[in-house]
Amino acid sequence: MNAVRAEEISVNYDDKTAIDSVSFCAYKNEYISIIGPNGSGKSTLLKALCGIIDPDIGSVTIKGKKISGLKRKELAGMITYTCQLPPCDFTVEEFILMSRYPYYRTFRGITKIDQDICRKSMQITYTSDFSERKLSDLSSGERQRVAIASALAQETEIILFDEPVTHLDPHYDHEISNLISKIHSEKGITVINATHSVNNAVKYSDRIIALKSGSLVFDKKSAELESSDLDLLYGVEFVSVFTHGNNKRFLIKT
Amino acid sequence: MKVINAKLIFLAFLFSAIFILSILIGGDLSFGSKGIPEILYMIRLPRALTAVIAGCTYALCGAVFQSLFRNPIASPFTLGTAGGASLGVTFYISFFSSTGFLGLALSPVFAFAGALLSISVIYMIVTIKKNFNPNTMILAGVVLNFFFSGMVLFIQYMTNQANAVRITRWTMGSLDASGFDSLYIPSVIVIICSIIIYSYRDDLNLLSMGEDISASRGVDVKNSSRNLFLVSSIMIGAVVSITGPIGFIGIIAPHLAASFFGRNYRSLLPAAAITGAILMLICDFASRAVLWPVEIPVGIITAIIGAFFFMRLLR
Repeated sequence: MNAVRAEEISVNYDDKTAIDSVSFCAYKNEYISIIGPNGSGKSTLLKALCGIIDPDIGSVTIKGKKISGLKRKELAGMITYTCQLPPCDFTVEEFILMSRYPYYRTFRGITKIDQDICRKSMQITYTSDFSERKLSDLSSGERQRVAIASALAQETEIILFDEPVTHLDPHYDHEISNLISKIHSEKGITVINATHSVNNAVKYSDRIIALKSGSLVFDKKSAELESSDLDLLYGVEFVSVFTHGNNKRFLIKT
Repeated sequence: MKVINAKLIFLAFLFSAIFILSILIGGDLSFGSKGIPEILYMIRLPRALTAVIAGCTYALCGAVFQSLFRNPIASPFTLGTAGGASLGVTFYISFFSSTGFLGLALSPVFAFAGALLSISVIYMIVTIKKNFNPNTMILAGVVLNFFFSGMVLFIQYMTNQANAVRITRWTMGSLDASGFDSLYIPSVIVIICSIIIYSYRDDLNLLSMGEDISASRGVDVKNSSRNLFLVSSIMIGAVVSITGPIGFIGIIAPHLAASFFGRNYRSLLPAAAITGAILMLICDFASRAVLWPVEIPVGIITAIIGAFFFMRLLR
């Protein structure tokens, strides 16, 4: 079943075309990675998928409903987006509770249900220990975990990740990638992950979509990815190597 | 949460105490032929109420703008809203004040029109650009503020001397309310607008985290910001028309409140409003006491205190 479908969407910033007639479809409970060079339109595509940006042409549908016809709160109950969080004065718990916004009603306080869901999201992402600390006092890795917790607290079936492991050291990269994979498999959440890490994409995702200069270059199963695909995409030569577990990984040749 | 509620109750008590003190303390209770109760009721009480309304308004609007612009020094003054309102009133004083009784009621309308003008210009800049940067908006506000001050000075220079003096005196800010009559409409406006702003508390929390996060959490960014801008301008217009521009409370009060209550707008909004009212009452008291028996315009006091506060903020 379709979770999200983008139909020939184009987005322009001023005169520049950020996304040029991209179509693709994510199925329920699928893990898709979007790769591509800097400025290829990965973030813009994610933002168009969850309605942060309205595409100039084309449409996005979630579970068969056009998102342009949905109320923002309704949409926020179906799909969410996580990015690098800015450092700010909110505590971790305060920030995660904010994700319950789609379920808040005017002049009603935070309910016990909201608090329980918030607590559970913190447990899954191991953020309970620093729930009282301010976001500005956390390391990038910890803040990324909070971002994931807040997305979970929103209780959507689809989560979009915008470069969740960029700027993280290998330890946190591994930890965050595993965490995303865990919520994907355990909670059955459809994940669309824009990333610069080709090997993470190959390791965790079912399918890889590549963008270059706003256009779709390829859309294939991650097991079928070849080094020649990457050569074309990034303009440098790649070689494929195999790990002990006979898993394919890619390295730059020279 | 419980701690915050306790703090809020304490703040409310503090406010009540200062409010009562500000009505009771002051020289010359044997003013003219009026008795003590008349002075308390006819002069001190309206004045204290004006201070409360103005303090709440500047503080709430400051808090709102700081979230919308994600900038700690955004306030109705840095963004030209109060400047626009000032221009409106200046315009009114020089050209329409001779229209008598009917003219009296028009001053808030002019102030509001000015505030709305400034907000619309800034808002236009936002809507034209798809990927708007709050810093661009702040710069636009600063430029607009210069433009408005220029226009105020121009009108002041061109108008007759009596009007020029009135404008000068008015731009210094004052809490001298002429009885309760001038307070009814602004109070109602401020109360309604405060309730509307409070209903946007969760939006304000998210908006301070940036457009992408707020939109993905379900905030209708365009609608919410537009409504918040509009409501803030109405409040500022209503208050500026009776008090003149009184700077800095809009920046100081939210920060002071945030240092005790945190940045969560659920508690920050009421805390900032009460803090603003308290600060305004204290500044008003200072303006009466510093050079007693001469009273100095309260705008001068808030500006001097504000400058010191800014230094602390910069550290």
